Amino acid sequence: MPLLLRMVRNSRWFPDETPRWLEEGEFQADALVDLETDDNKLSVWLIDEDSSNLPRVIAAMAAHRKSACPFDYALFRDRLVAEIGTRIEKSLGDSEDDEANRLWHRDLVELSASKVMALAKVIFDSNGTNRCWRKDVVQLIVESVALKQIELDKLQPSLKSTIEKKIPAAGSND
Amino acid sequence: MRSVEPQSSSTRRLPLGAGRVQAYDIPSWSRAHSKQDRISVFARTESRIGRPGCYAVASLSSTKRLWTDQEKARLPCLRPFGSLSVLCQALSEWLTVRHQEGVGEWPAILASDEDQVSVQEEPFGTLEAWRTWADREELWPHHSLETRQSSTHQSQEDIEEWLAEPLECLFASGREQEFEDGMESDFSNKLVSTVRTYGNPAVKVIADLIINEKVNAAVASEALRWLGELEDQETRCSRLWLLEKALESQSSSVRDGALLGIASMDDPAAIQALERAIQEERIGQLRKFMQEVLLQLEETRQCRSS
Repeated sequence: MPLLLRMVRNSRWFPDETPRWLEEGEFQADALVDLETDDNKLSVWLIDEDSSNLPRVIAAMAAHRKSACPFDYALFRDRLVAEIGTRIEKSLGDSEDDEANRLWHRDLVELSASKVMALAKVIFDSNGTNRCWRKDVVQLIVESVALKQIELDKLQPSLKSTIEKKIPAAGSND
Repeated sequence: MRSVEPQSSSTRRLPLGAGRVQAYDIPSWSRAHSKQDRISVFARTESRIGRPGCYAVASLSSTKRLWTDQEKARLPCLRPFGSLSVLCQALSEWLTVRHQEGVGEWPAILASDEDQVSVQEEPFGTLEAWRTWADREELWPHHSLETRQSSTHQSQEDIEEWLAEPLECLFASGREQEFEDGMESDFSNKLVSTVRTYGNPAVKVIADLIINEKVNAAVASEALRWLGELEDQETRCSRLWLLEKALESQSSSVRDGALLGIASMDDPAAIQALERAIQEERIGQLRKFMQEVLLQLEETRQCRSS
């Protein structure tokens, strides 16, 4: 059963314990910032059940940034999205990996405010927020560059510089 | 306000940092004022070796807009330690060369925050001409000469006091911005620029704002991320100290920002603070992240010791 990935900022999904103002099972309203829609659509990525494409999707999205930094994301079952009456449509992503853009990018479409709220609850209840640390992010991008999934020259200068320093080391491991 | 730069058609560029450092003291006094988005800092340096009574005037310029107009009005008591000392280093090198060449004329130096300094040659024929130029009242619209001289050697406390209000304003402005991982913002650019310019006094003021919870938690969290990313050796210890203290914050968002900053610095010195934070952490996900960073720091320690 496939998963869906949405980039988030983890701290918005923490139960903020001081002062204790959140009821049990509730989450911060700030979490909704991570579910900002455009034309009532929400961009997500399809992740295989065995998560085999997860590293490549993370690399593709992280490579779209100006600099290398940790990558926070939420993973949740696509079945749960269907259960709240939301349709999933295939669409072209805008990451740095063209093939990933074609294969795995999806939009959650025709989202109403209440469906966004329900989706936030799905994510929170799934307890599926994760973080890929900077070192790992850099390594994943290096691997994608080596496999020609990402073009080094398309990266932002600061990120490109970081990746370039790591490429010889990656080559020596082969 | 008149232009503060001496006019000359003869300008050449010198690399900073090439050659000997010393010979000249830290400026005996310095002042700054602003004009539109430009900040000019004037420094008079005094020779310690060989040429007592040797004075020079320099103009440090920045095209970056640091503060709001209201905040810029406070600039006359500015003293940017790091940049000014770099400027004086270049100045000393230049004057030493001129002295060795037996040139008695006094140059004006226009420096930027970049890695080069412009030297305007022969705008002044004598030391007296230097002084006359430097002491013009229009260069010091907010202070008399007596005021300037009495402010010799501004203390770190003075700088901290001066920085408090602009930094509070900066953090307040951060509330209106959307932060995105891996992307610079107006807030992060100004924060980094301030720490680079003012060094430890700036970190101390930021620490007061964050640790005493005087600022919004999300903005504090963003600041901590960038403080960890910053590559600046002079402030490394104070930044790490702030990040460790912020692990004890009441706000989970601030603790997470501190953790991200510590992960970026990758300094095993933070291991003890992190171990304490893990024991205290009640949010399972955040505790897991802390354990991952602890593992990273232990690996770094092992790498460095082997």
